[in-house]
Amino acid sequence: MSYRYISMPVYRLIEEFSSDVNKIFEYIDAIYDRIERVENKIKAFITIIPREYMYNNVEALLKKIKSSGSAIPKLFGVMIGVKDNITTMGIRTTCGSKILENYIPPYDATVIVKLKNVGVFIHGKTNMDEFAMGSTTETSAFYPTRNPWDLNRSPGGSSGGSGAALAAGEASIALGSDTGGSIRNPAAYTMVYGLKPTYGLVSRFGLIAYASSMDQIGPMARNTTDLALLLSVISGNDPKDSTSLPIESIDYVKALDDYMYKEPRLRIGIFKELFEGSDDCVKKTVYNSVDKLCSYHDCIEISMPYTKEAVAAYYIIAMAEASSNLARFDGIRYGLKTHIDGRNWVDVYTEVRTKGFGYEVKKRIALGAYVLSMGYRDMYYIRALRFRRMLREKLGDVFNNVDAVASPTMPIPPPRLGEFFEDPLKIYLADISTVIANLSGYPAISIPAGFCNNLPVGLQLMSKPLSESILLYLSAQLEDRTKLRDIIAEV
Amino acid sequence: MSEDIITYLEKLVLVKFNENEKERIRVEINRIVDLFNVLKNVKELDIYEPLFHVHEISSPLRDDEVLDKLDEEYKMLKENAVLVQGYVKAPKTVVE
Repeated sequence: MSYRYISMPVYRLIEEFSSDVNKIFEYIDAIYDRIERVENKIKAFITIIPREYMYNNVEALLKKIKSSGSAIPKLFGVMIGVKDNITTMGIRTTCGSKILENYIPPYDATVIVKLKNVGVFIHGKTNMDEFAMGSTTETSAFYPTRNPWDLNRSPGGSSGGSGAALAAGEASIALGSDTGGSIRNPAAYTMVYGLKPTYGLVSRFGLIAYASSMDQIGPMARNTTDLALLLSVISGNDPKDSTSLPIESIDYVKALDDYMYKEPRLRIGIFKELFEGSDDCVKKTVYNSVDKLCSYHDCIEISMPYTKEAVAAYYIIAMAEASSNLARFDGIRYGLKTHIDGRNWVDVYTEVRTKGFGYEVKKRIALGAYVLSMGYRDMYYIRALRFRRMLREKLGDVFNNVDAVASPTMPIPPPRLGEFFEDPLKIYLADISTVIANLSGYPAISIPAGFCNNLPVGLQLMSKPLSESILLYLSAQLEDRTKLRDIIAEV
Repeated sequence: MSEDIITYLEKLVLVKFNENEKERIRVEINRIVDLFNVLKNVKELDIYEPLFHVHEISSPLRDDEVLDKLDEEYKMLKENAVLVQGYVKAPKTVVE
């Protein structure tokens, strides 16, 4: 009986709970039983809220709501897995790093406040690459997360814990963050849906920064409607985030329903260079799914060179911003500490940062300092920013002729754990499809396309700023045709 | 990428690489910088201004909000401040 709650979409859960609020406790048991059964194999979480605490919390809030006579919030009782770089008051937030191993934030991120306001409960903080620097969830200081579809493979990253939790049935919905593909990559590799919103649509207040001009929190779910539901909750202007767009949240579920009712015929661009650069099996699987859309919509081939240059520009900008953002971790105000008496600050900071940061983080912030240093700043950093403007203009031209651009989310199937240890450049270049959306600030979604040798493959769609409804519409159409929704991996 | 540059970068970002890491990072950084160098081949970039931020915002500020609550707190701080040679001695913020 309880297994049905594990795979049940959130839009059905809220119907169940509204008919009988006590079903929430059966749901809590189902999820926690599932976690107990599979988490040892998957390691999707860094912190799990104890079951008893969840019961008590739900009971207490229910009592408070009933006694006050107010309406039960819309998503009351739904549990969410939150990537561990999003601050949660009173719940450890580590960024997958030793330097924040015991950091307990004194405040909630804006997205968390919004989720709590609609009755959502956080049941765990999901594993991630350290400070979101990685694409396989292997740079986490705690442990790597395993792909529920093949335990010898990575679930992708850096939001790999969120993707794996969804695919394994350990979470109904999840939050991730995306700076260079970190929502879309694990979504593709775990057969779930993941959306990187337009930059500025979702508040970054409370998101521990990696590269501030590209970071975005976004929803991850096992179907399009849940994605739309979660996006409706977390989006909208936030005065605490000066990069937040001056627009209110819209009801994306209603917008999706309107699109599905009207079914407009759209123009989809097939991104030639990104298909050509992909693995044959990935290419074939993604083309099959694109064909399902192109049987209804108008599809044309589009070409945009400089895809490798986009990866270079992304890493230059991301590493430069990261070297500045991570300067705050000095062991004085929060995080890992060391003794300081009689020592100079350089030695103290260096000791804490050397012990607290993993190799990948140290490498990226060192490279970030390199590209910003005298003699190299114009050659690398400024040049990358010029490229960014050129890319955004060329993308603008493309979107004068199409409504969405399609490509494989990732050019290769999920890698084996440890596969990229010897050649990290290979994993950087695997971001070739995803970084374009981050550099330009455009929204993009990863949709399950199918399986390639029993491994998940994703289709990425990108659209103009604030066109999330178009992405959700195309996702829902494809979902109807492929039936790749609400799938839980056999673990 | 010479060892001197690695040492210089260690000082800039206040981290240290151990011996194994130093060898590994030297090889990796060389390859990554080769990737970065592909931008040199994009000749048309010189006509574009750098795009620091996709919204092209510039330090947006909130309007000042004048509050008159601070008087009592200011009075309390002033009366209890420990002065050393004319300077206010601040409490320790680092717990040992």
